Amino acid sequence: MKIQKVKKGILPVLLIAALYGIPFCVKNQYMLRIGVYVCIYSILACSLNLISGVCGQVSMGHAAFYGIGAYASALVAIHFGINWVVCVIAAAIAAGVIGVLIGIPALKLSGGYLVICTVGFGELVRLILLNWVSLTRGPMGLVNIPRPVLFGVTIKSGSQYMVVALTLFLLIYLILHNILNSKYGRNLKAIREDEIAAETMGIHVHREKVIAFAIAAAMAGAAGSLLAHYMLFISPTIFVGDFSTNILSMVVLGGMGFMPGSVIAATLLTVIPETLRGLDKYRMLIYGFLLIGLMLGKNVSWETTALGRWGAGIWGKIRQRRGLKEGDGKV
Amino acid sequence: MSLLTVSDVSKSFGGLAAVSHMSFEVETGQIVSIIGPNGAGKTTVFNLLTGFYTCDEGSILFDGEEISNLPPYTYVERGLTRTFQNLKLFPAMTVLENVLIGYQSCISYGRLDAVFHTRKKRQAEQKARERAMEILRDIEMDGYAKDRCMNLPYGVQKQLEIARAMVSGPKLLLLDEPAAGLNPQETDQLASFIQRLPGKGYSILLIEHDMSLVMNISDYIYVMDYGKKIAQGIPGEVQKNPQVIEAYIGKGGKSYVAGG
Repeated sequence: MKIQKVKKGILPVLLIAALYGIPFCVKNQYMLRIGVYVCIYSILACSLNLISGVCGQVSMGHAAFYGIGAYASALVAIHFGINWVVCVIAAAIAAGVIGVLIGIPALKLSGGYLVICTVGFGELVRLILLNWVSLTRGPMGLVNIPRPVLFGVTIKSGSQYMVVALTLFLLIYLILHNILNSKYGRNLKAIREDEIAAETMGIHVHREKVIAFAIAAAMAGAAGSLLAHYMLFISPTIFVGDFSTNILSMVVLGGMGFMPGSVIAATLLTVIPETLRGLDKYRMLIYGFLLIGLMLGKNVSWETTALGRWGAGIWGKIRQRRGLKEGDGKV
Repeated sequence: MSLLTVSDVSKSFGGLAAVSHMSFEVETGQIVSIIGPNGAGKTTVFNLLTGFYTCDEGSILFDGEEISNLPPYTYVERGLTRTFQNLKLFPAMTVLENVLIGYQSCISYGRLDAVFHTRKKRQAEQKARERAMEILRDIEMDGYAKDRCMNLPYGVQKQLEIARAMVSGPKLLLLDEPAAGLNPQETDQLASFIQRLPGKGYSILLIEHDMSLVMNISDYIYVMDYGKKIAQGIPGEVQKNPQVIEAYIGKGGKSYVAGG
């Protein structure tokens, strides 16, 4: 039993070690930049997955919380000059509180009505960021956002920032993982499956939805803070409705309710547009086709295709070998 | 005092009186049935009892407390659970998860315990799993524990829904047509299963169309038609009641309600 437990724990540890290896091995600044974005987008995709995938409340306004977090964090840092850790917490609280305020009325709706409502909310936040010039400097954006200082070290280089981004991502992923593996995560799934039955089982459906929405919003806010102190400049054009759609496509591609899928999809949908940069003006066209292809390919039952059978065959052999080895060990 | 006392409850939708001046009682340890033709208002009564509809008038006393017009999620904690006429399971979740949701009000740990994966949470989850498996073994479904319930046969799903309603140990179990869609053999199994429940501390309020089931297992029967109570009594009395026969097959008919 114990050996099995250790074996089970080894894979995540190796994976995390490998991830932390990236900023130390990769010296290419461009690659590190992509790495930081993958971390930020993974936080966004995973947090949206909590409310849209796990709980079934599809939201198209996630970029708004990302923006609220980014502006809150930047403004706190610029005006008060306090430590970045406090800024992240402030960003998460700001986005979370607004998440509660919006969630209470909006989550009375469901399905298409909720989608439209969240689109409206996203647009509202973008327009406020654009027009509240005295606070946000409007279209000129916020500049001179201070770099994070942690333990007396100013986070300057790409690899340093990648370590910070990765740590925050892993922390958020762990929190989500723990929530999903608890009764609260199970209750969210039940709400997705059948609200009336969930209510009958004693789940306060509306409250659970609002709390999940607020948690997702707070996490997106933290991601926004990560972005602001990395770019050192933010403007309302980053937090547009298009970007909300992008995050949602990561969640859908990765599988609704499946957290590792969101991370993989966030990585794919960040890396693919970058690799296509050489295509110049055809880039977004090709990206669009690829997105359609990926979505179609996701719904193919791969076991039935030639490639799938071949893969399943190899996997079967590997498992067989492992099984034999384990058997030997027991004897 | 009765476990459940419904007195003079009415509910209308627009001009239609779905339930009017309905009164009935369930004693602890009893199996009480509500029967009546389609559209008589039986399910509306269940929805009034579980807070999905608000009563226009009347009162519902459960265990000495007024429970009408509360939010639906508060009834489990008071010891009142239900099943649905058309299955309402969580289809993409496993059988075990379904039962765990039924038990969720009894799993006590906070959100912070969940986030930090504390010992309290792990112990509570472990206990809940044991309790859920115990219930599944009781109905001989432990073999299905890890299957998604949408892949199960209909009869098994029906049983699972009852298990999900039972796992929190309610005082009163409301069963809405548990035998609908079951074959005669499954219905017999269900009958003996329900009959054993009062011995385990559950009281039952049952809506059912299968007359042989109702007549066999009920301690007391209420008959509804057009939202009104038209008769009540022990099974033998109800079978012979001319008004009941009339409601089911019209005037001049012979006793059809006589079941095995």
